[in-house]
Amino acid sequence: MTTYDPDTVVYLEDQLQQLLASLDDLDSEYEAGDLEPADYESLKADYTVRVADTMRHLEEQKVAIDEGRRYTPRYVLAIGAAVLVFAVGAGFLLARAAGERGVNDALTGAIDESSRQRTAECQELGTVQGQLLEALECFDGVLEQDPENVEALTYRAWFLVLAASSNPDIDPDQSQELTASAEVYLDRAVEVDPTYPDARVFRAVVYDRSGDGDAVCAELDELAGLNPPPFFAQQTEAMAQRNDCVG
Amino acid sequence: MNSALGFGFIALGLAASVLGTAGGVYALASGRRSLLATVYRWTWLVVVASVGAFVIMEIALFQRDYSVSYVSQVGSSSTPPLFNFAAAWSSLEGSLLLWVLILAGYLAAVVVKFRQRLTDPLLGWAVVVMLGVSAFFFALLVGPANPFVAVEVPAGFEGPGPNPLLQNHLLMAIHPPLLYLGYVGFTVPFAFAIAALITGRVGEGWLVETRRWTVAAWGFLTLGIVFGAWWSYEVLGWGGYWAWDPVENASLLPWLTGTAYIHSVMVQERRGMLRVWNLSLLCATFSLTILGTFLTRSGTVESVHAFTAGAVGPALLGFFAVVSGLSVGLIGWRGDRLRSPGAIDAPVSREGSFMANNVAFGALAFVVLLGTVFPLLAEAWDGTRLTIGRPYFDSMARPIAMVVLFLMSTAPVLPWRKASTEVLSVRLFWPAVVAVMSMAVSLVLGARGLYPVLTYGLGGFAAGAAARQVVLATRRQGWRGFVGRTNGGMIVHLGVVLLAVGLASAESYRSERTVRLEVGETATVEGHEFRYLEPGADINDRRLRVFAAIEIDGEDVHHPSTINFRQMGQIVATPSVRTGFTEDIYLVLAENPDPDNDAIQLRVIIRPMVAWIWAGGLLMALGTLLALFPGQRRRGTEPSSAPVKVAPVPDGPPPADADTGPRSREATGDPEAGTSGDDAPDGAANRVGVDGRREDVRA
Repeated sequence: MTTYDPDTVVYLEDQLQQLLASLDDLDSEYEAGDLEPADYESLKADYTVRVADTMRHLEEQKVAIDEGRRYTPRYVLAIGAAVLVFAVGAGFLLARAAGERGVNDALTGAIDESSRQRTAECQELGTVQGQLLEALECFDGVLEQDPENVEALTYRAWFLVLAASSNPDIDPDQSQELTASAEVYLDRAVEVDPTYPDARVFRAVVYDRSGDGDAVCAELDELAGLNPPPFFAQQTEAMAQRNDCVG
Repeated sequence: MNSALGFGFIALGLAASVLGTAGGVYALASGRRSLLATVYRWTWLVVVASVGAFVIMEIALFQRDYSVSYVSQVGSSSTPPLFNFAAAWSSLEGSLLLWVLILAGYLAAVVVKFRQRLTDPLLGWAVVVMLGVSAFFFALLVGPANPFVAVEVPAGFEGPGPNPLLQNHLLMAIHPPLLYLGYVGFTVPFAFAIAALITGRVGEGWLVETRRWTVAAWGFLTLGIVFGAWWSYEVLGWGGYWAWDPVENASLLPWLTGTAYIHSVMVQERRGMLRVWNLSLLCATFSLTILGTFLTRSGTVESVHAFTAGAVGPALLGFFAVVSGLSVGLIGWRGDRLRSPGAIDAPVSREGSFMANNVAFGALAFVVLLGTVFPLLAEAWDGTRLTIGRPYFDSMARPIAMVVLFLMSTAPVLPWRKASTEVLSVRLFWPAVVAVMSMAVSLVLGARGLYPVLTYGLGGFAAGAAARQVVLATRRQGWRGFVGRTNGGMIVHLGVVLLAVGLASAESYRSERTVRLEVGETATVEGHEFRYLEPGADINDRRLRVFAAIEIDGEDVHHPSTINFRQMGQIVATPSVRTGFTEDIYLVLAENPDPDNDAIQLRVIIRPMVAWIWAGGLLMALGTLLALFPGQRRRGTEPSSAPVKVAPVPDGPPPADADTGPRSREATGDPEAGTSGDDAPDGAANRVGVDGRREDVRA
C-alpha cells in the first residue's frame, strides 16, 4: 500500500511536467528532421511509459490522501467540548482576577509589594471598605511571609475586636473568643516592637472591654512613656478617666 | 555626516530588501530559477546595509554626535562605555536597528549554509520571505522609527543617557540581544514553513532543514527570558523576578509555542503526523514574536520594558495581521496535502506524551495570551480599563506546570507507538525512587503546601528520567552521550527541573521584614543578624548614590542603595543580594538615612533557592548547545534511520520496511533498551530522490 507523502507528490508533479515537456520537445525535434523515425518512435514510447507510470503513482498518492485519517464527528465534538470547558474555566478565573485599572496599575500582573504596602491595603480593606473578613485574610497573607510584621499583627487584632463588637448577630461566646484571639496577636505585636503605640492603644481597649482597669492603666502608662503624638492622648483620654488612671 | 550615512544605509537596506523580495517572487513564479542568483546578491547588500547602519549608530553614540536624533535621546558623555554601547538598543528606534542587524545575520547564515542549493525553490521562497520581513523592518526604520533624523542642538547640549534602569547592571547589555536572537531566529523556520506551503513540499524535508535553527532560536529566547528575570531581580528592587507583566508575557508566548513545536516536530519527523499542527505552531510562534514587538513598541502597555509610544504600533499590528492571515490562508490552501497518513496507536507512547505536552503548552499559551490581550480588547471595545491580576496567571499556570513536569518524567522513557507494562515498570523504577526520595526529603526539611511538595516530587521524577537517559547514552556512546537532540534535550530537562524547584521554593517560602535601624543597631530576621554599620554616599557627575553598609551575620558587608541619576532626575533603589545555594538574602534601602540620626528603613527579603532558577536557566542553555551538535550517527540499517516510508519505485520491489512492524529494540519491547534518539545526522532527512528512493539530502 502506498503511503501518502507530500514531498513525493511534488516530485512526481515536477517529473510529470518535465516528461510532458520532453514529449513536446521530441515532437518538435522530429518535425525539424533532427531525429530518425525509429529513434523517434522508440523515445516516444519510452517517454509515454514513464508518463503513464508517473501518473499512476500520482493517482496512488491521491488515493492515499483520501485514505488519510478523517476525524469522526464524535472526535471533533469531544475535542471541541474539552476546549470549551477549558476556555470557560480560564474565563471564569480571568473574570475573578480582573479589576479596574488605576493610574499606576499594570495591564497585567503585578510586582511583589512590600509587606508594608500590603499591610496598608489590608487596613484599607477593613476601614475604608468595611470588608473585615477579607481584611483578616489579607493580614494572614502578610503574616505568612512576614510573621513579625508588627503593623499586620496589631491591625489583624484590631479587626478581630471590631468583628467581635460590630456584629449584632454574634453570640457572647464567639465574641469572647475573638477578643481573646485579638489579645494574643496584640501580645505578640508588643513583644516584637514594644515601642509601637498602636498596639498599646488597642491592647488598652481590649483590657478596658474585659474590665481589667489596672491593666488598662498600665498599658496607658507605657503608651505615655513612648511620647506618642497628641492624637493618641485624645483617643485614650476617656478610657483613662473611666478606669481612674493616674497621670 | 553620521545622520546622512546612517540614513543612507537604512535606505539601501530597504531598497535591497524590496528588490530582493520582488526579484525572488518573479524568479520563482516565472520558473526562471537562474534569476535567483541575483536575489542572493541582494541579501548581501541587506547585510552590508544593516551592519553599516549599526556601526554608524555606535560611532555616533561614542562620538556623542547629538545631531543624530537617537543619540540626543539616549546618549550622554557621562554614560560608561559598556552602557553607551548598549544604548544602541535601549530605545525604540535603536532596538529596531538591532533587529534588522540580527535578521541580516540570520539571512547571511542561511545563504551560506545552503549555498550549494541556491536554485532550490524551497530555499528561494524561504529567502524571499526573510527578505520580505527585512523589508518591513527597514521600512519602519526609514519611516516612523528613523533613528538618524538630523537635529540641531544648542551648543553645550548634553544628552540624558539611557533610561537609568538600563544602565544599572551588566545583564542589561546582554538580555536584549539574546532575546532578539531568539525572536528573530524564529524567522528562519517560519520562512521555511511558508516556503514549504508555497512549494507544496510540506513533507518532512523542510523540518529537518530548520531543526537546528529552531532549537538555536529557542535556546537564545530561553536565555534571554532567564537573563531578563535575573536583571529584574538584581536591579528593580522589588525582590521578584517575574510579574506577569504584559511584556514578559509577550516573550513567554513564543517560547511556549516554540517549546511545543520542538517536541511535536519529532512526531512528524518520525511518524509523518501533525503536519497542520506543526505548521500552525511555527507560524503562531513567529506571529507571537511580532505581537510581542507590537506590545513593547507601540506604547500600548506601560511597563518597565515598554518603549514610548510611536507610530510603529499600527504598522506592527498590520504586519501581525498580514503574517497571521498569510499563514492561515496558506495552510488552508494546502489543506489537502497536509493530511497525515497515520494516527497515534496508543496514548501511552512517546508520540502520545508529546501530544499531551503540546496540549499543555498550547493551553498555557492560550491562558497567557488571553490574560495579556483581554484588557487591551476590553479597552478598545468600550473603553473599560481593566487589569488582570497575578492570581489568574498563577492559578492557571501552576496545574499546567505540574502536568508538564509529569510528562517530562514519562516521555523520555516511553517507546514510540506503544509501551508495555513491563517496559514502563523497568524504565520508570529509578525515576520513581528519586521522586519518592525527593518528596520525603522535602517533607523532612519542612516543606509544606501542595504545589511545592508536588513540584519536588515531580521534579525528582523528571530529573530521574532525564538522568537515566543521559547515563544510558554515555554508557553506550561515551562523550557523544551528552550531545545530539535527545541527549542535549535531557540536559535541558534537568535545567527545567532546577528552575521549577527554584521557583516553587522561592515563591512558597519567601519571608520578608522591614526594620528600622540606627547606626550600630542589629535586627534579626529568620535567624540572620543584620547590623547597620554606617551610611555613605558617593557622587560623580552622572549620579548620586546613597547607601547603607549592612553586615550580615558578622561576615560580609552589603550596600543596598538608592541611585539618583542626575541627568534624568530619576531615583532608582538598587538592592544588594547575598546569593547562596540554599537561600538569597535581599536587602533594599526602603528609606534613605534620616538626616537627623542616620536611621534607615531596611527591607529584608529572604527567598530560598533563587540561585537554582538561574542555574536551571544556564543549564537549559547548555543543553540547547549540546542538542545542536550532531548526535550519534546511525548506520542506514539501524532502526531509526531506516526509511519511514518509501516513494513508489516503478516496477521495483516494495520497500523492506515501510513504517510497519517492529523496527527498534524499543518497539520489540526490550525493556532495558535506552530510548531511541531522534538524532538523525545533520540534514540526513529521508527525502525523495530522483529515482523515487529516499536520499540523503546532506550534500
